[in-house]
Amino acid sequence: MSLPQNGYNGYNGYNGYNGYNGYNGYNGYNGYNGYNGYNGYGGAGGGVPAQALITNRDGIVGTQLEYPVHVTPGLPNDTRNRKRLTAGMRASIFDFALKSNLEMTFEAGTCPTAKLWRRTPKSGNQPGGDYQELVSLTAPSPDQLKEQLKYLYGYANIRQDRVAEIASQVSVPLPFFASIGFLDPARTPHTLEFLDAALRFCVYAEMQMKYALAVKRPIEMSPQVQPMIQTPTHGSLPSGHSTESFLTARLILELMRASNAPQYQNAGKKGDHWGEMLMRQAARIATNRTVAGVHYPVDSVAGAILGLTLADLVTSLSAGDKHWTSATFDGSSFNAHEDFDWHQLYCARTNQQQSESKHGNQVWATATSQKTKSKAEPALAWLWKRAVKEWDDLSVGHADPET
Amino acid sequence: MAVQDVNDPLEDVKNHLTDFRLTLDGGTDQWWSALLTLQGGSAGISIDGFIEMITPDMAQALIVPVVYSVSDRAVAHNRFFLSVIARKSALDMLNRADSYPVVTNVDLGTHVDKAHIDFDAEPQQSPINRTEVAKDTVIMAVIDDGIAIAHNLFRATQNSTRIIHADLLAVVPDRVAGDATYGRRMNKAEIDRLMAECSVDGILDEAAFYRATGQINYFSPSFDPISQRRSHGTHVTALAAGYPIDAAVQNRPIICAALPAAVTRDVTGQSLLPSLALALHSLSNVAQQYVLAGTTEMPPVVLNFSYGNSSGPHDGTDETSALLEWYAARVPDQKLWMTLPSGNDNLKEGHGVLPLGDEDCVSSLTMVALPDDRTASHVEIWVPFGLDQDTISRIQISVTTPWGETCDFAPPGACCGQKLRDGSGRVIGRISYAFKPEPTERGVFTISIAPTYSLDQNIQTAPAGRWDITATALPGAGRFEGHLEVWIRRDESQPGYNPGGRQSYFVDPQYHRFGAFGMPVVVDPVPETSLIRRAGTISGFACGQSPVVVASMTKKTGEPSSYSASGPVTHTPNSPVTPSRTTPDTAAKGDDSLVLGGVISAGTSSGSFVRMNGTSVAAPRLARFAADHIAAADGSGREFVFEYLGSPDHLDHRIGAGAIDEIKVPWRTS
Repeated sequence: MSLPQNGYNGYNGYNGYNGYNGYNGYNGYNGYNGYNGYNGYGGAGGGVPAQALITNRDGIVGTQLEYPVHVTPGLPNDTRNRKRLTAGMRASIFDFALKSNLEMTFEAGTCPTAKLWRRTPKSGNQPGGDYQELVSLTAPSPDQLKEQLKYLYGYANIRQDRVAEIASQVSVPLPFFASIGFLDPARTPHTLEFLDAALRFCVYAEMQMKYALAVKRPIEMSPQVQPMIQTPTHGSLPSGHSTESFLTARLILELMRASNAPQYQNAGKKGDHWGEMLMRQAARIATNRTVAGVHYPVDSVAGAILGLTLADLVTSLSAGDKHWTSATFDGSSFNAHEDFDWHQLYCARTNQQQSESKHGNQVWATATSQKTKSKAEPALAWLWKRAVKEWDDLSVGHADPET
Repeated sequence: MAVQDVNDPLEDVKNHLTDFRLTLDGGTDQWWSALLTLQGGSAGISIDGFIEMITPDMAQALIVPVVYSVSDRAVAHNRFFLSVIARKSALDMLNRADSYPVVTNVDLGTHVDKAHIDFDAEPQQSPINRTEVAKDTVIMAVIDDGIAIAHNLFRATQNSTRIIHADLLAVVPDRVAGDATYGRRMNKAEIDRLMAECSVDGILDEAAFYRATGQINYFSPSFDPISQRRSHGTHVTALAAGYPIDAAVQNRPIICAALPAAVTRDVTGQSLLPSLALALHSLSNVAQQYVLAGTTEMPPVVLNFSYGNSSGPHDGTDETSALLEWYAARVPDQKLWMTLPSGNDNLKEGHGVLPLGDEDCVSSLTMVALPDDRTASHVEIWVPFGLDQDTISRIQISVTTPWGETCDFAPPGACCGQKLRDGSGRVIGRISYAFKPEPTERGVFTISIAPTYSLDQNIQTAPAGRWDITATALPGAGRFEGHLEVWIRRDESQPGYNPGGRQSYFVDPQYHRFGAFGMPVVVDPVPETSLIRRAGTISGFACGQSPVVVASMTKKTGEPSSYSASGPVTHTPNSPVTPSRTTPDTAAKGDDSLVLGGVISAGTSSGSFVRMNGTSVAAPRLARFAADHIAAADGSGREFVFEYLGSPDHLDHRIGAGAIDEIKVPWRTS
């Protein structure tokens, strides 16, 4: 009769990694299954059957000795612990550091408004803090959506042309950003971990906004939209793909610029081609969702505002940057005849969101630069520094900072 | 059961196809493009004269575009073509046989969206001052659809285009400029300004640029060709006149016209002839505004028009050929060569012959109308030259529907027709006959069949399946020499695109598509046992006198591409004679190899390259070559090509005098 292997089910603690699977929304990351390289960490058993470890111990353990000796306390709440954690464990730490900054309020109406607030913690050991408005999204009216529906018909004409992209972008389309910034699990593991954390935070926030605003999908407005992919069950505005893509684009740009690589730096009047190209990528991914028939252009507008704003907050929390952005989007003031144009929202060269976006005199989006006294979240700062180094230049004249 | 109803004659009209399409569409508010053939007798007729002639009611329903300048309007011509935009009421009236005798033909074009018309545009005087260009300049003119005018291959520098003029039909007009009735006209300064406006940090936002020009409008359900990564006009224009920016080319300015994409919801069958006429007139006027530096000479022009069709008499006397000739000769002091594709219909099984011979001779072709064909299908049956009306009235054309119902029609007069009805009396098509006067002087039967499917309950559909078309020489006709020539009009739409036309074709067990080793049979076998023919599939308007007609070659095999349409053209005493045409003139690369079909040229977006094939891509390659020689050559483009190829005695039906395969484009192509 076999011995109960379950005794070693403690190893299943590693299954905590599976908690990661909760984020399978990010299956796009599966392109980056290099993370699975971490499975090496799962190798305490190394695939050895528990039965072997049990009989092995029986064979060599002998009588109990006076161990342990010379034990000292660990490093409480110290970032030095992080490198010994699996990515899955660390993910929980980063999640806490990011998500604990947010709170949401909601105002009902024909055009409901959902606001995310940023918590600025009080000093000392007491919980609580002050809240500042981070981003406010007001839904457009059903009549505006009806007008926006015309774009769904127009964009449907290019489905044949975009089908390969759209089908590849159903999950988070990180490979499309990796075609611009040099992302690779071997080269930029911390960057991927950082983006992963930021995207989980992004989904956490965006889903709450979608849920609150409950904007109906195009498929609910007309039987002729007939999307080419399954419409997700969550609300239409803001577009999750737009939110996540603009967040990703801006964070990659932030990392590039924080590095010492000259090619990534703002070229001033000569232009900033990296930022422009990253944002084009984000916009194309967002627009492809309209082509597919699951989003109005205005969803992409709201998503871009949310994504850009969250990216700025994540950078502030990670890099210790005092600057962050507070933004608003008033869907009820958005001209329903207009398409999504990210240039109205953000300037890649200055890396600033536009202070005002308007149609004629009608302002429909604002962005205000804010200052915080808070320092970086230690857990995020730890990851940020490592991620930035992955973008440093390794060429003659630019020594590797680690050597 | 017979579907013929002898008491069901059609109205006497000038153009039955136009009448059929206007009847099928039925929308009274719809604006259309149309081409009027005006014939003024010995005194001639001017546009102003025609406008004075029309009634106030018609004036409300007919617009003469301002591309015809004030001075253009004053000149009287014996015969010319006027492109107009008009409603059904005006076109019905003009098309009536008994009204407006000065209008001898009405060719219906396409739907024109009201939003694309500037009703307030006013005709202008032609500019007096001419602009100097470099001494070795050759103006490259391209008429096509979907031309991405901001493409980097059309720029001299990052911020400066080589396109000195673009007509964009089927876009929202610039009502401030007020210089175009239909669509928009842009000059170099406007294009450069807009590129600057749409550039951020040195990168042109092309989507924003084309939204601003109106070439992309996703708010409209209409299809925009340059919303795709591959657009015909961009690819073609680059083959003719594309150069990398760092080549710093200054002597190949581009003038172009983007025609409406043939993808609207019009189900009646479309013709771009009126739009072509507008484009030709505009580009002709623009080209005259330039002068070679330090001289009074106008720069030569090479014009490429990579379109083709399968209709017309194929004898060089059709309206499109006449239109091209009219503009080729319009400005005697400005040398103009044109390049046209020979067409891609060699293996489409859309052409055949119906021999007549002795009395009671019967011959048939069977045409398959496909199910889910959302557009009308049209078949033209051309009568040989020189038959008098009495003889022609003894030619009977019978149409048998897939349900076995037959309609017999022998034309009682020079212009007549009757409706085809199904067994329940519903109109499912028509058969008509018209004698095309000088310069053609031939009769043509036209069979028009309603769409086989429609989502619109108001559109009567015709059955899909095999339609038999039978010609019979009735008693008393004597012996006929020659045969009737039959072409099915092209109306194929790409899958998923409006209007959803599916191409009808002939079938015959005697027509062998494949030969040894499964290779397609690309030349009619001798003796040919089938009435379906590959010979004579050349594009209907590639039979005229001036254009250099270009076939397609497969580079690797050195053979004509299998699809490349064949001569000979039909010869009548009225066909152009100097030099007479029997075949395409030459051939250029249309395919890299059998495996790598097509050639590489510009994609829609700057920096992108895509592959397209067809004689459409062979013709602009020849245009590029012609531009290098036009200044030094004395004669016509065709004369130059023949001379360049050694003036061979024998002209091949598929590639004419031979292939010119050394034409390079300044990018890596394979």
